[in-house]
Amino acid sequence: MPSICMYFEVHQPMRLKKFSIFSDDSYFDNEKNTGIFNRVADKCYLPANRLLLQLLDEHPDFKISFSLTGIFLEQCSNFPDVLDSFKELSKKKNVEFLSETYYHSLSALFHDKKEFLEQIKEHENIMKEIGIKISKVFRNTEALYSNEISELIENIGYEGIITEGWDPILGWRSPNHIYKRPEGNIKILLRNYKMSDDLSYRFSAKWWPEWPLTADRYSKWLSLCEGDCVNLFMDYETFGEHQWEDTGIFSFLRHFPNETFHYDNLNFKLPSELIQTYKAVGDYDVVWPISWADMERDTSAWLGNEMQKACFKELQSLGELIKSKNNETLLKEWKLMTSSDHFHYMCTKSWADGDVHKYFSCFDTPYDAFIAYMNILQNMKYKISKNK
Amino acid sequence: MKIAMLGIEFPPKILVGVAVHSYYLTKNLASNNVTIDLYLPNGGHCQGVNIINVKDISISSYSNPDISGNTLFSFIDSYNSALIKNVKNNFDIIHCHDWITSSAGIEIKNRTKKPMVLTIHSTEFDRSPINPWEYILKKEKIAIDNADEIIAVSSKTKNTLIDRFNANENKINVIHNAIDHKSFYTGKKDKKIVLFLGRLVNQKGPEFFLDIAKKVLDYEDAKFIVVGDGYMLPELINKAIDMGIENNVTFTGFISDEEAKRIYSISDVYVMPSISEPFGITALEAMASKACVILSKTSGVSEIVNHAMTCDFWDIDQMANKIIAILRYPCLKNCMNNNGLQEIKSISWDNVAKKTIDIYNKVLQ
Repeated sequence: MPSICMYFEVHQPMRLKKFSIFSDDSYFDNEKNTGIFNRVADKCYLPANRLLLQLLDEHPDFKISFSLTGIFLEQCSNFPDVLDSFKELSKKKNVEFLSETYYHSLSALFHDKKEFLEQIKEHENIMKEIGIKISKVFRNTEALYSNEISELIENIGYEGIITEGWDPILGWRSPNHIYKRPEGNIKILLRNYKMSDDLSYRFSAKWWPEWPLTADRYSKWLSLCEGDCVNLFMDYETFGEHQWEDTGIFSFLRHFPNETFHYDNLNFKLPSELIQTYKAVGDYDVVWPISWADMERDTSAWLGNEMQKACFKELQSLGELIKSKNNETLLKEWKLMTSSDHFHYMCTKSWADGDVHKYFSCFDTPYDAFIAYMNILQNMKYKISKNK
Repeated sequence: MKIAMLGIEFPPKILVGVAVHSYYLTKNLASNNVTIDLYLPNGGHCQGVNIINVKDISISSYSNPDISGNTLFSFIDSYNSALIKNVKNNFDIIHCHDWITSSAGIEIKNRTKKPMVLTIHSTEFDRSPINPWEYILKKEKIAIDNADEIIAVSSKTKNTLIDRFNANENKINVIHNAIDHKSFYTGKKDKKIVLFLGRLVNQKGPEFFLDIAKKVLDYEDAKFIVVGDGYMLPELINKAIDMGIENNVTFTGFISDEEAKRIYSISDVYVMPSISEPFGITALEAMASKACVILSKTSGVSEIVNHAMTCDFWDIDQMANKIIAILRYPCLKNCMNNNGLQEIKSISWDNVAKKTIDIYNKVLQ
């Protein structure tokens, strides 16, 4: 009897200005960030939250989970109705909020893991501040996961962690079970990428033989799945932003719970319920970091080329420098630079994935993204040197 | 299928992109089994192409880059009359390039009732953005109206034809230029060289290049090379001296194809600050030589390359910002170069020839 576990990532980056070597103003493009947030709020956050609130009322056994990044919440200060609607969701008994890093950052891959743990703490704090309780399940940025990351998370008291159910690691095994780390106890929830991508990626694809996908057909597929759970993990922006309203995504969501309840073998469970209900069936041994991004499911979306690697190195050494000074403003700005998004825009992989990078980027080319990012790091370095 | 192509320029005489285009187009058409009679004012050689040297022209050579005004017009008139006399009637399609040979093309079309294909490499609005010649605009309009099918070298050019010449959209086909990347090579790039290569005329924006150089030199020690000839050369030299950057700027004047390849090969950055650039084949040549390319947003070539940066031609700060970054960060340079080279390997003249044959078939139906 597979349990359906739905988890949505809610995030908006703090996009950078096209900061040039001659620039001497703020680093972040507040106008663009507000404009995009406004658009996504109208197309996704507000209508999707409204619909989910309604569905949770109508179906007492329907369950969903989210995680909200700290920088998403910061940007919510200009959009109190968005924050209020998430708060309203958090009051429902069948809604769970997960833990993650405040800055949607790559800090888990830093040489020194202190910043990673600090950003998890910062996220816990902001969630407490806005009054939303988070569970003992952690989701790292872009589902980045390795044995090392998993151990760190287990050591600070988390009981579950989310990542990709990736074939080269699973081998013949199914992602529809709970796994654990070798020599660890933390339970690992694996994304079923085939079922998840049917919604987040293929839903509006006219080349797809299954297009247009309906809730009854999708529920039937779920009912035929074997295993303990089917984990549908995706960006929340799937609803209304990546898949526009006219694709029928909201109508799909509206009918989805009801259609699944037609099948006796299906139910919904929250991530924390999954880890309490099901035992780990085996080890998920991840030596090199994996993620849910691109065809490779590795770190190459953010750290694949020379530019990204150079920036990542510079970012870390600048961090040490800033932390040795006492400059709160610069420290905050530096933390904002740790977001994975800035690195995503520098990606030069030119095949099918290239389209995804282009779609999300606010720069003309990966090279422009690199220049702006590097100029900002250098500008920060200059400010520190003046601030001796 | 036999084509009578009315040419104007052909290697080794290269003033504008038309010569490079004519050479590779005819060569690749020939290898795709199209028979070509290529008519030229000063001959040439190309494997598989029957080149007919049109003599009896009153001004025999077209080698002076400064050829202009009355001299240019009387040369063109004389060449067109010679074409009308010389072109044999044993062809299926007549193919002209730009307005220069179009009056002969139209007359031969009317005489033989054979269809005419016209490739537009640039219009007078591109070449003289500030003060276009009425005489040429009229010639262009007549050529565009009389052509049965038009090939535009970019969507930008297609739009110019529609917006400014009121051309029939249905007969305009976009076929971008290409590159024979194997004929270019990479040299040692250890001198921080920033390159401008093009005619020194207003359209190409060479004065912006000097402004950019001045700005970059405040931050990075680099060499700026200006390759090409044109009426602006004296004023550009004076401007460099006035700006106090004469020690870092080199003007080479007109150079050979081989010399150009060598300069590309040692350049770190190639800048094309053109006010108007219907295509800009030099950008592909620079990418083939592993130079990082910064293009004006108004260039046609930017429609087909992803691994070059674009900028407004007047935005000196942004141009300089990008150049400084390329000179400072080897990781940026390497990424652009390697991806750029990879990208242009798929942009082949064989493809251009095949698309051109599709147009020939269309016009014969």
